[in-house]
Amino acid sequence: MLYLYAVLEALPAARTLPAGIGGGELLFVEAFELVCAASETPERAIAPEPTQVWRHQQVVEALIDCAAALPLRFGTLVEDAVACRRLLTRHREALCAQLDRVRHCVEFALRVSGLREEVGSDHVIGGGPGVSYMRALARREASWPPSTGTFPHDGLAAHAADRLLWSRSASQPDLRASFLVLKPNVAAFLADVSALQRMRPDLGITCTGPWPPYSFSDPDLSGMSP
Amino acid sequence: MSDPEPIIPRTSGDIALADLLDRALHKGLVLWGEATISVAGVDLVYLGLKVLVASTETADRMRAAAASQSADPKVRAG
Repeated sequence: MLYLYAVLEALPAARTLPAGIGGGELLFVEAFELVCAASETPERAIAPEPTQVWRHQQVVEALIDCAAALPLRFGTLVEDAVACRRLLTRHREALCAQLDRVRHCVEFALRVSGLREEVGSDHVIGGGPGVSYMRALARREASWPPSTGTFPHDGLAAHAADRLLWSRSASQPDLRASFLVLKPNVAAFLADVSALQRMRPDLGITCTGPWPPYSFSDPDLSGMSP
Repeated sequence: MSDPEPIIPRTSGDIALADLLDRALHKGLVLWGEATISVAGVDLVYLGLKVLVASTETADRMRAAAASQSADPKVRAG
């Protein structure tokens, strides 16, 4: 099996690259103007342990230093180089368009905690306590502020080429957003994040990155949103 | 009250790990068709045909059932 890391627009220049998952050496499958970085593995399933995910990340990061790249989702396997080449060929146009979108960009992750949620009062119309509870839950979900409406400092988007707001839930109440930022705009973006923290010291703000553009790499080839 | 410290983005620590897991496991390019997102111990999908989206466990069961049928001479003869 081949474990896949990223689709690149060019072969990386000769340099030392980290070993792949399981210690395998990186190899590159080419099709037209696209290149897929991969390593061989005997496994048919990869455990999502932090060390493995960090290894995936280290490989992608090293590749992205060399050329524009679309990071693949962790755990992507194909049977062999022929299957990989077929995929690259089949999706060539979508992949090239997506590479254009993320070229010279990095991703930052922002979490904002401490925003008060508005939860409506629970008016029981009928039914027993169970029905009431389920209705309260349904109302809570319905009234949960969508990230798009409540993101507290929309000016951050001005420094970003794109932005993705993650859905919130009772188990993930923080506002979470991914920003695709052009490298020359990184300093301005981070200055604005710090400004947001100064303006709203009541909020807990964390920023991680720069990451490869995971959140902006899928042209939705499956026909389903991730 | 003094201003909060400027925010320095990080790529290490627990929050960075959580952010990386969010992204690497739930985002990233999905090469539909002939590619398996195969992560042990996690309910992920096998993307074979556009219309077929099944758990890897279901796909394995289907594959095993097909293999046992083709190995059964009665089935082959029928």
